[in-house]
Amino acid sequence: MTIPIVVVDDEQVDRYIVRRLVKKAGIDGKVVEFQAGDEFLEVIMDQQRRTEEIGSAPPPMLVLLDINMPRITGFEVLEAIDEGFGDGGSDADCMIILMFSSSNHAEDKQEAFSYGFVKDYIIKPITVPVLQRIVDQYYEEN
Amino acid sequence: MALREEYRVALEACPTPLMLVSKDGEILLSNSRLDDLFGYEEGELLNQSVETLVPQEIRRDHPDLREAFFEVPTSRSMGTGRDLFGARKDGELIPVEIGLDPIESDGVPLVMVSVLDIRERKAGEAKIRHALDAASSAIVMIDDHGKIELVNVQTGKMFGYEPDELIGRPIECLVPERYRRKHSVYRVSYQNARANRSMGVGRDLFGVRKDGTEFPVEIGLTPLDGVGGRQIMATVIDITERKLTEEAIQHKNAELERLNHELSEFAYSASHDLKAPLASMAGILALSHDDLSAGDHEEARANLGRARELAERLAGRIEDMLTLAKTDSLDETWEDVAVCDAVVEVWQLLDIDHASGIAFSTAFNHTDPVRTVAPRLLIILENLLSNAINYRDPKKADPTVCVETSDEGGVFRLAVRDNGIGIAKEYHQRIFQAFKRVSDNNAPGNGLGLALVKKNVLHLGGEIAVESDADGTVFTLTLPRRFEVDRQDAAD
Repeated sequence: MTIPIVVVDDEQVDRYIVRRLVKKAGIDGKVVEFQAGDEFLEVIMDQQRRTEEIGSAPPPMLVLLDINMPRITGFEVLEAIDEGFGDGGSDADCMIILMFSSSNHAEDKQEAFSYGFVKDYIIKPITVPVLQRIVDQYYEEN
Repeated sequence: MALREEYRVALEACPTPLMLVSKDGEILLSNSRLDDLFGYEEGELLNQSVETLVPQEIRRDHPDLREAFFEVPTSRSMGTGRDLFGARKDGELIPVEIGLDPIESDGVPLVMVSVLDIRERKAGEAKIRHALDAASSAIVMIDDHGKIELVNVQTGKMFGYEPDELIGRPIECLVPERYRRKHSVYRVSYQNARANRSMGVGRDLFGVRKDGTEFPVEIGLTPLDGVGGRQIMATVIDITERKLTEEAIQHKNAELERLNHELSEFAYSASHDLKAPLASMAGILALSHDDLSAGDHEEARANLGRARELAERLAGRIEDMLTLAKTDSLDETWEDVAVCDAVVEVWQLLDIDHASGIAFSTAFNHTDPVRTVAPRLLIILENLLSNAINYRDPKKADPTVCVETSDEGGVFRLAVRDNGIGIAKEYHQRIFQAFKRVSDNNAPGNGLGLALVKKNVLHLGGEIAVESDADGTVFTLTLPRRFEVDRQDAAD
């Protein structure tokens, strides 16, 4: 079972690190990268493109979402997802959203978790054990 | 003489110092209390002239006054409204009150003189007077009709009058013209309510000096119900200084609030904008380590190169943050700046590097010079103009930048108009925050320029606004012409 791992981050190095660590950890994952929040939103709102570019459910996609990005921030992405999927529709189940930031600010965490569907808050740099834990935690049932 | 003996006994029994004086001023009888008061032995004053007991400087005039009394002899107090003194044997003058009662003895007109020693009362009055005059606030007592009965020295000083000048005047003469009518209404209602309280709670009160100038005051009111009517005591404090201090504190508070806000923004920025490249660097270095362990030297080299780029970016950001921080401590010298020249000069400096091919025009409709802090204005101009250059629209054949100015209602306005790529409306707030770039990473700039502009504009007391659409962008700077003056006034 290949896990779709989505990295939404304007920093190319951070996307590259995730890709490398997925490989190093030996996770059966397909890493899909977006360098901007709006590009990610465009794809997930479009059922067909989502299936083509990320993969069809199940398993749900694992989304690592950066906060500080130009144009629209990670929080604004959350807001858009909340509006688009907020009615408890099954679409929300197809994503495991983890914030992915260098910020250890309490305010940032608070804001992130104010969206009920945000499952975790990962502080950069991400490491193999953290990645492993995430995959084990969210995919052990699958 | 038998009658006189009767008088003697009666006088002696009376607790008041008394004497019986003839028309020509001879002391016919005095009781021992009077002798004591003036320092004489018992009977020593008999047959002496009454003028002996009158102070030296009016002794000469006294016989005339005495004669006038005997022309129309009536019971009365002597010297109403004047301070009277008696001369003791040892020369000491003592304040006295004197009562005169005409009597007739065997057809001879005499006068019975009662002398009250008022030294203690005078001392008490002086003490109260001193206390009133020692008060730092003005103290004014008014009667039932609002007439001034008593003022202390401070009242005269505060309102610019001689203290005596105010006695008998309506209290409204200390109230600015525009409040006078209302004041008399308030006063009457207070005189009926009568309670200790401050005047005009929640309103700003003013006093007016003799020369017509006004000043802010605080007033406390106390009703006095005692002998001689229903008076009101008002305590007036000149709060000019306090008001100025309050204003200065408010000014400082606003400044502190702004700095505090900036500090929290700085902390936020530090955790995002400074930590982010560092976290990426740590990640990529860990990978380089893996690469070296695995013997993949090429990948390791590439990753170390990425790490170095990140380090350089971080150093740049720190430099930018310092630039931003330094903006707060720029020299605040206000001077007259010829804005027309400054705009052209700034453009020419930018033009040398990268503005070639852009049509630059100006429309100056303001009056030079503009009073401002030159380095701040230059930073603002440089950044607005270089943004207009950097974000030109490559799809448009004729890139233009235009600077327009005007003066309106005490405000200097400068607009930088370009036909560049424009800024979407949702980013108009964010663009003024440090390191918040809205374009993709490959466009030039570091996300600092507009933050610097904003900061400097705030320091000049002005505002910066942006409008943008597909045709381009207009940044409008407005600076109050009087900002320096107002600021100076607040600081003084």
